[in-house]
Amino acid sequence: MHPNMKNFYELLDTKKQIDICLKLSPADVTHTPDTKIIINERSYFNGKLLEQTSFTHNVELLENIDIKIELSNKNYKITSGKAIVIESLKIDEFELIPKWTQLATYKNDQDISQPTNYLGFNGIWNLKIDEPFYRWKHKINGHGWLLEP
Amino acid sequence: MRINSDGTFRYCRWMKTHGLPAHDDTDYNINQTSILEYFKKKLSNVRMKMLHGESISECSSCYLMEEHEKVSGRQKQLLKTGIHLNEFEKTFQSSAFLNEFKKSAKLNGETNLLPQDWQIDLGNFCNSACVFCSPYSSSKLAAEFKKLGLIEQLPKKSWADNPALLENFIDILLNSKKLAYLHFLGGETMITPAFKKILKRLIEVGINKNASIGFTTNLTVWDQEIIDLLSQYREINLGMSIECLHPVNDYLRWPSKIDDVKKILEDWLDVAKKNQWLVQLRTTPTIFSVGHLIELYKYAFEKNIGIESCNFLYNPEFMKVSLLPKATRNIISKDLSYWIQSHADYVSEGQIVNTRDPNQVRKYILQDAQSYINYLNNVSEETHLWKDLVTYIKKLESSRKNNILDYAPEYEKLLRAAGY
Repeated sequence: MHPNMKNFYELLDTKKQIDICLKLSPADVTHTPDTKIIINERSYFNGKLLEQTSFTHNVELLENIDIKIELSNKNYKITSGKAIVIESLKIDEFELIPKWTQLATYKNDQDISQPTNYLGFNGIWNLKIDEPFYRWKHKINGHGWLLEP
Repeated sequence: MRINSDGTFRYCRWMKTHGLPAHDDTDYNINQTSILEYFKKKLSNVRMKMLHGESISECSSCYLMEEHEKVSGRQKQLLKTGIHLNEFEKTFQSSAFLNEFKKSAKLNGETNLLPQDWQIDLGNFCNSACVFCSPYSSSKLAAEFKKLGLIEQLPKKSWADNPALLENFIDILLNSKKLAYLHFLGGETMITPAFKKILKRLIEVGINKNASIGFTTNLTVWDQEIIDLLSQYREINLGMSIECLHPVNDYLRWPSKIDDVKKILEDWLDVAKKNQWLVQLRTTPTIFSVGHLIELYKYAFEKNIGIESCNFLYNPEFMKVSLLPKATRNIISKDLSYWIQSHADYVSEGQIVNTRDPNQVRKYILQDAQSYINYLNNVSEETHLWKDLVTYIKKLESSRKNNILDYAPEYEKLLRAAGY
């Protein structure tokens, strides 16, 4: 056994949490976007995104993860450059932007659903992980099929 | 789980037993013990040792591979339960098997699960007699050993030759609802009747739609009926045994002929491409082939096909690459290093554990080559084994009427010094 590795019984006593770290920026600071961030049904931010801002949230290791980022009240004629840029989204230090943006859905009032980290339309960018994060990570990284008991 | 040719059970296909039947308390056999009893109850001691964090001596060949950054069988099997050594605690706690581990701990190591992943050794029936093989894996070599006085008795008949035991085993497979992977070994699988029989039975009951099949062939035989059966399975992992592309392969994998081997290799690659099978070259680098390993890596890299050795050869120990002097090993490892550097774009940042990921084949080839560099550079020299090597090959050559110096003249000085 590795010198620093815990055995089975010690592991069971260890409660693990993982960090979700989100870094957002306004695409144009003169047109600050109305932004909502909801993680696992809990609202983290609701207001104008004035500058590059980082948000951190903890979830239990086995908890499903649901991240929503919403842009609203954009007037396409007056403030065409208004947008939220997802600079970074790390889950337990695993960076998802830009490599895994295609795993998020983007529903917006322009019906343009191409994978992106540039949210320029009124709508919701949503990343849903419907299983423990590390099982999801195993799959998306091409680590092969998983046995089920 | 593994069932050896002689019917003994092993809890892991990589478990170190020197290719011989163990004669200790782990030596349970399909003749006396049911597979279910062995898996559910008899393995409880091993499970409890693992749960208490004890090292398992039978896992030593995997520990050695990990020491030299070669992907071990242990890592590969853990991966199938979602557990990664580099993120052990979190992936362990996230594994779908965690609750089963807890249940087993409460039951003192027993389990209610059935095996899902099997290595099935069908016997030693083989048309090849590779010099580094064992009588337990080659009937041709066994007959030769007996003739030369290297063994007194031929190995027992395979469990798979007994129709009742084979039916019993097939029934277990048929009743394993979560059966996922069956890896067949011989002897030579393609000429072993039980291989065809099991493939047919699993198709009859529809298991071919869910289970993956792996097998290794020695690239000397072809059976279209088996290929047609295999093409009905969900996934095939085809392993093709070859040591190198140089004629020394003929000496090592006697009595094959490298030109015929290459032709059959190309034919298998065509079939695999057509059926979208996963393919790997399987090699067991020995003292005589390690110098040609680079050509095999280059071939695999160019063709974008996997290459893998199961472990660092430990039996017969006198064929280990560690017999080579450091200076010789340095030349081989430097050539490999230069080659890896020439493909630096493909060098992976992290270790690739899923050796069958079709998107990472070239990266994995370089990673495997690097593990051999580590091994060549770091393993202790074992020059005391040269005499055993010479004694052994002289005996075989007396029967085969061949001569290693016709294939590997570069070793003349070393061999002569050891009495060749």
